Order: sequence, then structure tokens, then C-alpha cells
Amino acid sequence: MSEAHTAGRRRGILLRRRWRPGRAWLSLPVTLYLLAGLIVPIILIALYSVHLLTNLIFPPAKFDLDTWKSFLPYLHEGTSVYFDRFKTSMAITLIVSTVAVIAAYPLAFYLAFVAHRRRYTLLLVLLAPFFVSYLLRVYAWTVMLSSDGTINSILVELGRAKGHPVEWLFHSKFAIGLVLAYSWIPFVALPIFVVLENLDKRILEAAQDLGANRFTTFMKVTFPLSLPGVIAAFVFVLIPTTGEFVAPSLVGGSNDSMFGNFIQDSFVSTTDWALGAVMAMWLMSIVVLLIVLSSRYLTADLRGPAR
Amino acid sequence: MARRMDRRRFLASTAAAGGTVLISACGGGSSSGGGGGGSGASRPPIGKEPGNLSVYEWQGYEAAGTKAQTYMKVPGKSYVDQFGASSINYTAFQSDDAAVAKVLSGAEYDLAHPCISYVRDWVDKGLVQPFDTSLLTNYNELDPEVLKAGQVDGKQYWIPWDSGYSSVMYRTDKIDPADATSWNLFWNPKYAGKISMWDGFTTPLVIAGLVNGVSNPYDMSDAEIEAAKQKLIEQKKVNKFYWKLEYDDMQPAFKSGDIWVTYAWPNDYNDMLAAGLKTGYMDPSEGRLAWYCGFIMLKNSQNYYHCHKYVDSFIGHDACVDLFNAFVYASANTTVKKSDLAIKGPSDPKAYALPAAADALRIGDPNRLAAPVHLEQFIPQRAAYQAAWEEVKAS
Repeated sequence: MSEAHTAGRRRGILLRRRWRPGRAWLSLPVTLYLLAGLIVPIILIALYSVHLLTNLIFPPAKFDLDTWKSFLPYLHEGTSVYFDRFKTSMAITLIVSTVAVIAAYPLAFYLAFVAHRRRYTLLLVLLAPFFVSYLLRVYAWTVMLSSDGTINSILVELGRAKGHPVEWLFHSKFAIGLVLAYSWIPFVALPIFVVLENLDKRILEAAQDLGANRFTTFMKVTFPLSLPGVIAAFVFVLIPTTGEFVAPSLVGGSNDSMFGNFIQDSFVSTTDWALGAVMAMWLMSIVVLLIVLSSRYLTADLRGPAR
Repeated sequence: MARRMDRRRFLASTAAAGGTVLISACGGGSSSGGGGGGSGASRPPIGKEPGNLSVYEWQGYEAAGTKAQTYMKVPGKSYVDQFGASSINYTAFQSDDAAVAKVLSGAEYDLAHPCISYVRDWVDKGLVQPFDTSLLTNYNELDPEVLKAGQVDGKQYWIPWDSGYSSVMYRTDKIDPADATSWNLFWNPKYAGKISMWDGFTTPLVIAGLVNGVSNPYDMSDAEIEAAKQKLIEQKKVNKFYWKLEYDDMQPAFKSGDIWVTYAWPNDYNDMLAAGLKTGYMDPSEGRLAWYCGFIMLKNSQNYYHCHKYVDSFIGHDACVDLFNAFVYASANTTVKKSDLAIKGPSDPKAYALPAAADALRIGDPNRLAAPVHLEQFIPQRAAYQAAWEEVKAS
């Protein structure tokens, strides 16, 4: 293992030596694209958030931190409904990410260690839902969850629901969690699978040679070694889910709008772009923070533990 | 109002599913060229105009012949017959708010189709030019009371066309008739969890204002807005979900029995009756809401005469009859009588509209806008209404 790592490092050094600044132009198209499509819009959003740009005629554009002050509860008295909503959304997101990772792990484990030659076929099957639009997959759940949907029909038939459909299945936080976890599980399984598949199997054999049973091997060797994949997977769900607005608007209830819904509303349905910009900037800061915190795992060699 | 987006979206998707869509729009958002066109300027005759109309229109409302429509085969037909389908370029109108913002930020069209409560926004922001009503042969058939909403300083900036009511739709087999007399059915704890308010940004505030008994729900004071907001936070406890999409969201929930009480339009009432549900469309004691949408001509249009021809081809008697037959919508044309309409019955078994839904629209009734009906209006404090609604959802 250490030999392989040394070789890797050496290779890295060699590559670095050979890298010539003259080739920087190769990254130019992507750099320009990102600049125009990502950096500039972010700057514009930032300007909207401090009223240096505005979608309104009155009041005219003028630097002003009022919207920030009204959003962040620490900067004013009383409550901040949107900030509270941010906290609720983060809670939903954390639960969804945890559930998705826990559910995906056995799947990845199966693919890496049990499926053998069929693993790539099964992997394709696992990814098959991505051929269908996300929106349609969310809609498909309404067929399952509504009062006369598949699940309730079965429950009513079995008499469990005593003739009344189960109401919390649909238009509820449960439905949002279910739909989000469902959507992300295949995606989450991938990084875990990659890590597990690339584990040096000799280490696992060594553990068993040294007297560890399968469970101990998993707990003390396999799982710790797969942690980078688990953390990467967790962050992979967490980051996009923080801005989620489709699932809550389609399967959520009256009180289940997530932070992303309010950002969307601000820009699309109401005219308060400043508030939308503040919320978007805030969410982005949190996401960047998450990326920075997890970057040592994300950038680490997925094949081994973080160094 | 975003109200009509859903219908358009639905129609577009069903047409696409049938493989019948012929997309005539090429590119979208193309401009008709800037400058000129202001009132008073000497205009080139119609033959000298570019003639490439750019129309900012709700999906499903395209002129007959520009798509392979199976319904709505009359509105716009005379224009298309004269100038050709390929001369019209459509861009999808998503919502009134988004439309104003888009045109403010520089998008250019000849015509657009906003609703009554937004006319003032277009005029005040200087985005539109008035119509010459003498060029509209069908103008005199339009309801003068509704036309007033499109007039500023004696000039006609907005030509009303499609119309309907907004009210409470409810299941008559689930709701006690004694409870179905007022908008306050939305607050009735007996039906908790079976109620769905529209995620309508300003409309829920208007409804709460009506229930609170304010003098003008479209122009509430700050205190009245706050009271309406508190009323809606109270309503949230019994509300199952706020519906966003008429066809993908509200109608399925009503059909499945997830909800028994909802905010809806007469065409929804028609659809639920057609689905065999025991459904009522309420005449609340506080009054229904009535809406109109119509045409505006953008300031920089260089197709002044084409624009008039286009609008004229939509507002005539036959086009308005067809509008009803296709969508169960009413119109601003006062010459349309109930006897003109295709209503399902022994004589017309294939008609889309059912008698009860047609009655609910009160077409041809001179009192269809009379009190207690509230014709939608410009909301001077719209931003405050919207902010209050967002806070209701976030609370």
C-alpha cells in the first residue's frame, strides 16, 4: 500500500514538473464559460442582495444592507421567518442525506463484493432512473402516495387503514423525505461503490488471517477504509438538496416549503429580488462552507483513507 | 396572475403527447426592432410594416393555424388566413410578474397578454402604447365596464378578452350545505386536512380580506394586510397543501379525494363534474372574484396595424364562442349568448362544457359582474401582499 502511494506521489511530482504554463490556454474555454455562466451571475446576485442592482423602479438602486439585516436573526429584534425556514430545511436535508447514505451503503457493498461480474450491469440498472426526468419521477410518487393511490388502496383493502386512507403519506414532510431519499440513493451509492471496489482485498484477507470474523473485518477494516466514499456521498446529497424546491412544492404540505421554494418565489412569483438574492447568497455561503469542510475528503484519493 | 399558466402548460403537453405540435415559433424572444412607433408619429401603412409579429402569449392561446390545434380553431384565424402562420412568432408568457420584469429588462415584443390587475404596471412603467379602437371592428362588442380597466387618461391600453370567476369548489357529498355559503369554508376545522388554498401570492390575501370584511380587498391598509396574514396563518392549520398547478396538482388531488375544498375556476368545476364527482361551485356570501386577461401593444412595436388586426381576430363573436367551447372560459364580448355555446346535451353530446359549468360562468347575464362579485383590480400594495403571503408560508 505504502509503495503504491509513494509511486502515486512520485507520479504526481513528475506530472507537476512536466506541466508547462503554455498549456494553460487548454483550460481557457471552460474558464471563460465558468466566468460568464457562474462567477458573473454570482456577482450580480450579490449586487442585488445589497440593492446595488434592483428590479424595481422605486426605490432606485443604492447600497443598502436592510434585506440582509432583516434576514439574519442576529442583526435585528424579533423573529426571522425565512431564517427559521432555513434551519428547518437544513434539518430535512441532513435527515435525507443520512437516510440516503445508510440505504445506499448495503447496495454499494453488494455491488462491490457480491455481484462480481454482473456489477457493471447492475450498476447500469441502478442508474436507469436517471434516464427519466426528475420531475416525472417525483410525479410518479403522487400515484403511489395519494388518498386513492397504490399504497393507500392496498392498506384500505387489507383493512389496516379501517376504510380511511393514511393521510400523512402525501403532502407531508414524510413524502418529501421519501422522494428525496429515493431520488438520491443511486447517486449516493456510486462514490461508496468506487471506494469499496478499489479497496485492496489483501487487507481484508489479512484481517481474516489475523482472526477477525466477517463482522469485525467490516467494522474495523472495510468501513473505516470506505469513510472517504461515505463522506463524499453524504456531501453529494447534502449540497444539491439544500436548494431543493421541486419535491416540496409537489409532494409537501402547507407547512413544508423549503428554503429553495422561497428563493424561487422571490425571483419568479413575487418581485422581491433583493430578498431572493440574500437567501441565495446565504445558501451558497453555507454550501461553500460545507465543500471547504469536506474538501479534504473529496480531494483525497478515494481509494484509500484520507492522509 | 399565474393562474392560466397551468392550463396552457397542460394543453401544450397533451398536444405534444399526441404528437401534433408543430412548433411555428422560431427561436423565440426575437424583437420587432427598436425605436419609433410612439403615438403621434407618422406610421407606415400596413403594407410597409415588417409584419413579423412577435407575441408574448400564454401557451395554448396561439392563433388558429399556427399549430395543429384540435380546439380553438377560430381565434386568430382571420389574421393567419391573411398574413400566414409563419409570420407570427410566439414566446411563452409564464406569469404577469415575470412578464413585466422581462420586458423591463429589454425583451421586445409586439403584443402581450397580461391580466386585468397588471394593466397599470405596464402603463405606469411606460412599456405600452394605446390602441386605436377605431381600427378594431369588434371593439364595440366588448363590455364597457371591463374596457374601463384598460383605460388610462382616456386611452385604451388594454383590450380584454378571456374571463372567468374564481371561487370555492367543493365536494357536495362531503361538505354540509350549511357550511358551503362563504369563503370561510377554507377555515372550517370540520374539514381540516381536506382543504387546499391556491398558492396565489396576492389572491389568498384578497380572500382573507373578504372574510375579515374589509371595504376593498384589493386596496387594504397595512393593518388590514397584517390581519389578513394572521387569518391565513390560522387557515394553515386546516390546509392540506397550497396548490400550484391546476392540472398537475389541484385537480388530481380533488379527484383522488385528498381534498374536498379548493380554490378553483369554472373550467375546473366542469372537469370535476365530467369526472363524475359530486361537486359544487360556490356563490360565497362575500362574492366571487372575477378575472379578465387581454392584449397590450408594446411601445416599440413597428407592427402597429398588424397588431390591431391580430387582436381584432381574437375578440370577435365567433372567436369568443370558440374560446368557451375549448376552455369553458367566458369573454369580454357581450354579444355571446348562452344559446351560441356548445353545451353538452342530447343535441350536442360531444361538447366539452357541461350545463352546470356553463351556468356557473353566467355568460350573457348582464349582472355577471354585479355585486357581490369582485372584479379583480390593480393592487397598489402588491409587494406587501406578496411578502405577507410568503411569510404565511414560512410561518
